[in-house]
Amino acid sequence: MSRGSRADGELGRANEPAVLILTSLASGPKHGYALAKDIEGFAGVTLGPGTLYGAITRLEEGGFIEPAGEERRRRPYRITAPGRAALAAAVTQMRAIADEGSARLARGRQPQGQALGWTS
Amino acid sequence: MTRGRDPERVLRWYPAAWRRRYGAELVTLLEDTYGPGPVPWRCRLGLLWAGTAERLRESGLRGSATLPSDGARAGSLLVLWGWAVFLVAGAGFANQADNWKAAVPVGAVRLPMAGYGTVLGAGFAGSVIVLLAACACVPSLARFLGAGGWPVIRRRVLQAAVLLAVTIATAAAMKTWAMRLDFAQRNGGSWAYSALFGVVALLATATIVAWAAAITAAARRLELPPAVLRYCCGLAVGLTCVMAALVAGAVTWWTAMASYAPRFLGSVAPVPSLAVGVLMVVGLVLGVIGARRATESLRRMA
Repeated sequence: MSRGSRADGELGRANEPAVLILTSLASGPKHGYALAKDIEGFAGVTLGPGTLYGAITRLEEGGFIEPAGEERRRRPYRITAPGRAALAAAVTQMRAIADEGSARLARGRQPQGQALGWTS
Repeated sequence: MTRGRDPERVLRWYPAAWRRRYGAELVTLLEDTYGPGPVPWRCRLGLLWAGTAERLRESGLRGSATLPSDGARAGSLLVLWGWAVFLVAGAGFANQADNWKAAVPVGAVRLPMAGYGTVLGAGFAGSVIVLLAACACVPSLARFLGAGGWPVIRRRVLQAAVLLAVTIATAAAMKTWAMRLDFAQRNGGSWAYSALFGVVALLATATIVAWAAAITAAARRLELPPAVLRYCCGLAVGLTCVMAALVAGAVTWWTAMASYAPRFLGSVAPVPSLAVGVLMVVGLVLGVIGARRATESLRRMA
């Protein structure tokens, strides 16, 4: 699978459409328009219709999401168990990076010599 | 452009199977997002890009989740398309190199001859390779037709056959006419003859493209045994090597002619010459991408 949902289950970076969609669906089923608006609201990212449906296609093929109703024109999607697991893994990875970034920034506020480990 | 119709028109570039599954939802999303007005150009371009990505995935040329056998088949077919581009370029090259020997000093024929000979040899080798691949697929094609597959490919095959017949008839008429014209008239002196020559060139190109499309339509539906698929992938790699040799031969010939007979090259129209070069590069790039995809897929199959 390409960008969106990779074959090995990795979802990619925080701003990847797949991560954003799974994050949005984690709070309940949504159809395309509701997904786009929700993502815009919590992440400030506007996903174009082509990008959104490309990612939905990959996620559904990968079994990370599934249709939540029979309605054809405004079909809602919901996150599946593998989708929750993949999102949890992605969030853990992002949290580790965020923690590491915060720690390094905090160290960067110290005097330069101390930050570089020059103090005796 | 009116509401509803415009989004549907934009989505036509997506594969039919994808549209059947997601088309209605995406049209609704476009209507919800942009209202009654036309779809903005930025979004339109995004949809074109996404539609192309879906087409590439459907054909097996993109995406690691694709079945290895589909990837191998798609890679081999892309090499075939590269060869189709080479056929068009080859026809242009043959026209360009018409009577080249007469323009080169006797002692300087060796190098351009080496280049020209390489082009001819590679052209022959490529045709043999394509024929071998076609022969390998005949049993699968027979099974496909026996199982009632003809209606599925009938339109494309008939289109290609009609185009071939029209091209042959037009080329024969042009040949008959050419015999009544002198050298100057055949080489730009008669606008009517030049126009007919252009029509034949276009028809020949359309015929090659139509046959490549017909072969692709059939090959994508054949149940090819793994051994045949591996054999075809090997042939595809061989065909790509042949294309590289053909480019090398053409470059050698052009370089030698530029050194020994610059007036001959100067008498050839620059735009068609450039077009031949560009087509060869495009064909080779398609071949390399296809061969790479085919070998990668073969590795996954093993």
